[in-house]
Amino acid sequence: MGELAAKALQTENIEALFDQIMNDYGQDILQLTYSYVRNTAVAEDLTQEIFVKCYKALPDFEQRASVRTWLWRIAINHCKDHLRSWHVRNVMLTYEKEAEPASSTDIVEHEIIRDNEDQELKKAVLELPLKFREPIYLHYFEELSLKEIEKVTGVKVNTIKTRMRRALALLKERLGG
Amino acid sequence: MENRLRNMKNKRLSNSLEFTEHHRANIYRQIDREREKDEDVLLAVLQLLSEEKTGFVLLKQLLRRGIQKFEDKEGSLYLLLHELEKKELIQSVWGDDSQKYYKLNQKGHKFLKKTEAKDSKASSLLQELMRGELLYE
Repeated sequence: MGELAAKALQTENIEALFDQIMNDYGQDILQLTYSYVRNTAVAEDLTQEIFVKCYKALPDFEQRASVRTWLWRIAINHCKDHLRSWHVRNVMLTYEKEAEPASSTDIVEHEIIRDNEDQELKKAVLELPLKFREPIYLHYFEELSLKEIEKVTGVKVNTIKTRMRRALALLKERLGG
Repeated sequence: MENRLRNMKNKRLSNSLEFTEHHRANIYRQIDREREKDEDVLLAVLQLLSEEKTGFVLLKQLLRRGIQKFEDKEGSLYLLLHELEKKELIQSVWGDDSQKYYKLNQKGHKFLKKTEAKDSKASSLLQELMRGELLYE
């Protein structure tokens, strides 16, 4: 990716780079979007819109910057714009409750327990208010550092720390331990 | 709790999401659709500038043609005009009424003819122009 991004962004390079970006990050963006909107169909729609935006903005992409940070920023802003929109605030009041994800049939017992615990934790994370859910998802699921979270969300590191502490407390309260 | 969360790295919040060929195809379709729309907009701007006029008059005529792209966003029309001037497709002069008048120059006329004939070279310049302009949306 670094190699590709370092080249001058001429039209044919833009096409190639864009295709590469969709390959590398399509699934990640879908998951990221889901962490904000908590609805499969909406996550799919927003992901497509995000990549159209990304395509349009590519000629403006600073080649020294990281594609990932840049793309995450576009995606996160897009998700937040969506959540702030009139339609969402007034029409979509609840989020879709996911059907229990399928687990494979022949996993051994302790794996089932492990799996159930994971599901329980994911559900609790999804039910956190956005400002707590955001840093938890980015830090633990995506392994972004606090500094990186600041870069992609525009929230200051100190604020992120406070929110993470609060989020951990909420999760403990909810799940025990 | 932190340990439990640390186990979550690279795990998915939802298992029912898969980025597929279908999504890619949709994205490319949407990009093509917008590009076509943009080309129509630019073509209209060039056609209307065959005759000298101010940005304000141009805007009104675009609206009359059903082009709403610049409605409430006159700024981006002026940016486009600026780009066209930089590419030496149009020229502008200050009128006695201290308004700026825009008009196609010779290169612009040629370009318009090519564009109307769907010349591929013109079309790629068109895309380049629209890309630049789109960033300011």
